Amino acid sequence: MFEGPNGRVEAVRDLTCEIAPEKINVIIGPSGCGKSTLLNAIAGLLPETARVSGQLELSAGIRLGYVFQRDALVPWRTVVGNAETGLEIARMPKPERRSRAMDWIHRMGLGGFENYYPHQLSGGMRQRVALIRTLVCEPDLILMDEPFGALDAQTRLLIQNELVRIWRETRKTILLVTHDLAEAVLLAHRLFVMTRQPSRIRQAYEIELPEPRDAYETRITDEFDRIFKEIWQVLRAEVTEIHLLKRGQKAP
Amino acid sequence: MKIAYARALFVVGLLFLWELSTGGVVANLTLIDPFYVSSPSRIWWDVQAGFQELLFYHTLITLSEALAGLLLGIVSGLAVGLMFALSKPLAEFGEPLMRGLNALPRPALAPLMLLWFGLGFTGKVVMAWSLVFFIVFYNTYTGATSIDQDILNTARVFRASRLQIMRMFILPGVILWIFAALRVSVSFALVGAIIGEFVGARAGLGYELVRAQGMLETDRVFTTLIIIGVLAGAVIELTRKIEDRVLKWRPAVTI
Repeated sequence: MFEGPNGRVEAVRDLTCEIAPEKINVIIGPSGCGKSTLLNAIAGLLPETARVSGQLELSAGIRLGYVFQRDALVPWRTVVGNAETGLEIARMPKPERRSRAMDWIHRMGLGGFENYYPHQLSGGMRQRVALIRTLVCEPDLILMDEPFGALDAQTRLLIQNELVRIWRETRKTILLVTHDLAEAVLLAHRLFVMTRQPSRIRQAYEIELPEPRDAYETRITDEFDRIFKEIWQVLRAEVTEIHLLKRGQKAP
Repeated sequence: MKIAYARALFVVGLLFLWELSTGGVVANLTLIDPFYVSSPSRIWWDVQAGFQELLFYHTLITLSEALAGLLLGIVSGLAVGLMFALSKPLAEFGEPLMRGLNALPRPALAPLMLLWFGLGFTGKVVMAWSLVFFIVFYNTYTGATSIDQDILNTARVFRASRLQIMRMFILPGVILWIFAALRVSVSFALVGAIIGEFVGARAGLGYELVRAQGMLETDRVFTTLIIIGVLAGAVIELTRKIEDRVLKWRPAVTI
């Protein structure tokens, strides 16, 4: 429940989704369906005016990482300074955190840029730094809130590939939220379709596309096409209802 | 480069015209009485005669008043700004008061400062402080409250303590906001000190300006003006250098 400017908004209700460990889990749903709220609830970032009734089962001691849509880099820190933020908060000694950060900077192809400031980087590079900042902390679960939404189409393909590669190498559990169906099908091993407010999980799909996936190659396969169409049928109903609502009609 | 030469030539030409029209080039060709407008050569001689004992001393006085006001203004503005940023009730309570106080034209305070602190150093420092404080206060408050929410959320996901959030994310941002306003603060500190001296003082460039005007020493009035101009220019240029160094993380902007 949110205390919004127009009274209470119930963003998420009775939501159960079982996240597949060591896989990429993707939640897709129309804009404003409470996807971000869900992630924020998991990360414990909801404002005090928002109430979560019921419980959120998250094993104790689980380490979280969170990648936001906007990279949220600290502008006065260099690439390496941003990359080691989490380790610095965890009070890791400087030489160690520096070498770990540099390690990931090289793995993500940003070697040589470690002393650049965020404003000197392109959007794709900045988002990579945000990814590095999360990955160096070796979280058990990585939350991603439309992480590539602010990037241009070409950059997005590249960084999607990057994510696929990183997942293959690390086998992290990832929970990614997007409203881009193509992105969702491409990345997801398990895909959840979310309904409009109050949100529920409408359906869960296991996406079995040949590995390793590729942002371009996978997209032009028949299998991809078939899955895309199948889920689009479900998703379209949700999107259409939202449009009707916006025109002032009551929900059925 | 060509433009720079043309500009220098233009200034030299103006100085020459000034000298010429006040009878300094051809003795019996005097269009304007140098009693009112002085002349470049008279100013030059006055600088030679008065710089060391008088103007050097006055300059130091004004500069130290401005500097003391600047430092006090930065420290107090930072402290109060942070308090406002950290406590929402305090901000709601105090913000309209601050706005009201800041709206008061500070030169109007100068007579009161004279009444309270007399002719000495303190009143001028308070004048400079009263201008700098609000600039720093508003920059601190804005800097601390306008920090990117996603950055704070990132810090929270990393389980940063309140102290860590303050030290790693809020304070550096605030200090950079203050640096961004440093040039304005420095100019205002000088303005405050000089206005304080206008109203009543025993020393300082503002005092010397008013004294010379009262004694009809036009040459000295101009000399003092030029020294104030050069001083302000030098201090602002120095500030710009410091800014460029400290703010190198930021894309170039002009304020």
